[in-house]
Amino acid sequence: VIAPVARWLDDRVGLGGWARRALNKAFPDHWSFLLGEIAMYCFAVLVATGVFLTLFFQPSAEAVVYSGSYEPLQGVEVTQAYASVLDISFDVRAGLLVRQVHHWAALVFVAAIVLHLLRVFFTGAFRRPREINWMVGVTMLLLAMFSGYTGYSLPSDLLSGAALRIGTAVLQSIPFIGTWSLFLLLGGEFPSPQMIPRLFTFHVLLLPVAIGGLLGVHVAILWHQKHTQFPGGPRTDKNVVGPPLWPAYMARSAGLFCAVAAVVIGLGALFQINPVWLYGPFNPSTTTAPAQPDWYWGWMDGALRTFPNWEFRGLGRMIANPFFPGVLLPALTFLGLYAWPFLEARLTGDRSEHQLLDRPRDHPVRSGIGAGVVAFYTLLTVAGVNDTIARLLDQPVFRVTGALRVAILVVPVLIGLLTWRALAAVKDAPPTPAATVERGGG
Amino acid sequence: VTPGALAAVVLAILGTVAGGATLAGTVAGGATLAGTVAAQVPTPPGGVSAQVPTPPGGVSAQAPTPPSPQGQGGELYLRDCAWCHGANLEGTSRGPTLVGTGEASNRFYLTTGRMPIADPNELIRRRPSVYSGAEIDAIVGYVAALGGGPASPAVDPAAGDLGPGGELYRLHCGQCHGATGAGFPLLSGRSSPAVWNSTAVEVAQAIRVGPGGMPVFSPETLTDQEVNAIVRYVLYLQDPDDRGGFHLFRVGPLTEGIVAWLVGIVLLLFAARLLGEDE
Repeated sequence: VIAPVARWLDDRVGLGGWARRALNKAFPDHWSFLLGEIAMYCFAVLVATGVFLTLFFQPSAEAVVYSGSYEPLQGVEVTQAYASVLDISFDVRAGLLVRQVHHWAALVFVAAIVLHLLRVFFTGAFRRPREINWMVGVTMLLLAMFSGYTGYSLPSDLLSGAALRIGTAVLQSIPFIGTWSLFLLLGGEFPSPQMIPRLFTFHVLLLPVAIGGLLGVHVAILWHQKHTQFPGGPRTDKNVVGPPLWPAYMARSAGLFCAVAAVVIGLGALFQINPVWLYGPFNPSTTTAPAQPDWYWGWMDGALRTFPNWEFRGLGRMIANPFFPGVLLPALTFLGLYAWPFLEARLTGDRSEHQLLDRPRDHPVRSGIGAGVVAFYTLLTVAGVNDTIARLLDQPVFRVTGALRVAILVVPVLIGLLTWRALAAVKDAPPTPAATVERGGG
Repeated sequence: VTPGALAAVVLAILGTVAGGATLAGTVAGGATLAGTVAAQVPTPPGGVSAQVPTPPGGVSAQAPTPPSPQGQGGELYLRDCAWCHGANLEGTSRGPTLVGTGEASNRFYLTTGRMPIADPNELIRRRPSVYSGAEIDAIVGYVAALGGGPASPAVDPAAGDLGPGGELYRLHCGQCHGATGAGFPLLSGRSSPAVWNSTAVEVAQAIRVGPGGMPVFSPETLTDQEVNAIVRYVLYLQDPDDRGGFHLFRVGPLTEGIVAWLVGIVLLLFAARLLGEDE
């Protein structure tokens, strides 16, 4: 059946030659090259489950009296959005499963993006000619984080409200434009009735379309430039060695898709995530604790929690405290990510094309910087649960926060230096003999 | 080590975090009493509970004649309590007066094991009670007869409504005890405990007495009916509708992030390692 249809198509659009070349395209082989693919398949799961959820979710802050089947909230006044999330969780067939798979897929999605970014960084895959694709990837990370944030904020439960309150306060802290940006975004003061519908537009339309579009660009550029490969064997800067797209690589990729789907559906089926019915409906006069953002915003929450209570007066204005950890730090973070390929080229003077990857141990300075930066953001994320740590250690929160402040500044430097020195020692060491001679003991 | 086993270990560790109140039980009480005067002696319960009007039908009547310290209650009081609270409940530099604290406060402190403590510097927290029910009755009766004060509040959770109870809980209690009842550390190093181990009577007593740093909620703030509703919701939180799989200890997205990495990502890295060649 397939052959005649393909021939009929080929006669009319003439893509046969292209398809043959495409199916024979070689894909270099290494398990770490699959990290980006994991993220891509998470995105597919997110779109599929997200479409299902939009069939039932009501993006409205209208007050309604809940009358669904969850008894402890019957008769309580909630937003329509919250009531519809309760309906999805308790009254829509498979609704809770799909909601949980959606949320778990989001957590794994961003984790896979971060791991992919680290792989690209530590192997030098961002170097010429791949700077553009690096920046496209960084943009997708940013968009994924905002997708997560808007999704977290939609159910209009207590955690949603707390996240929005923090986010809007951070936005307001930007000098000159903060307050106006907030009004533009929310159509008024927090909490505004237009908040949920607007977040919804971002979450289900603008952000996913942007991610999908950039994903296409990302893969197209990869296709055009071809994948990098590790040195060794027959692999050189002039060739691409790997199995062809069809059938070997496609089969492998399909297997990976099945694995991603199995893992996120398994998580959704086995582990409860975000039990909004226990957190209760959002109410500006109340909050809950312990509370955290989803993991990929933890570093910013940690920065807000540990930044000293400094405020500055400049340009005739008070620059509010959240500006530094909430706006300046993330801005510098992403600026640094965007600029890294160019920064490194300038520092090393290496502006040549690279098709072969570095092994992380062969670049002690880059790997040292990377390890220090990873330690910095990991510790900030840890600081995002300073209260839970205080409880675990039975220590006052102030003391834990103070210790974390020191650790955030000191430990990354130590880890960076240690990594740099250790890798430099390995690099400079004479090659180990292929075999050692064991002297007989008797 | 399989990822599953790893995750189980992490979850077990987190379980002890979530059940933080039970950690308290391990605090050693071996310190001597001869130490320095407490720097952080808790708020005198007498001071706050003086504001609590006696509920109708309470047994707060001051005994006409001082009770004899010969009975079991008196003996236990003199043995375990008088060192800090004084032989006549008058209080010392080590502990507050118990005059006017009444059954509501004293029964709460004794049944939840918050008292006695071996050292006034020790954090006052929930632990297994060292007394039998009869011994608690005897001590509480002795202190009430000697010092007066409000009786234990009558509580009937079944008479409370779950919906309003939940709203009141989130409004008055959730800030410190958490919407899910997990409890939360306060800045001072004390914690507002999880509400998952408390009995109905203990919850009502705590609301009316305001132990430790907790505010007092008098009948002007919360009627008896509202207390019934809150208590019903607290009892619900001890065994809530937990659909959706394993509950990850209801401490917020923290545990969800850990599971996403240690279960989700670890499994997928394993899959990638199997699917992709490494050379």
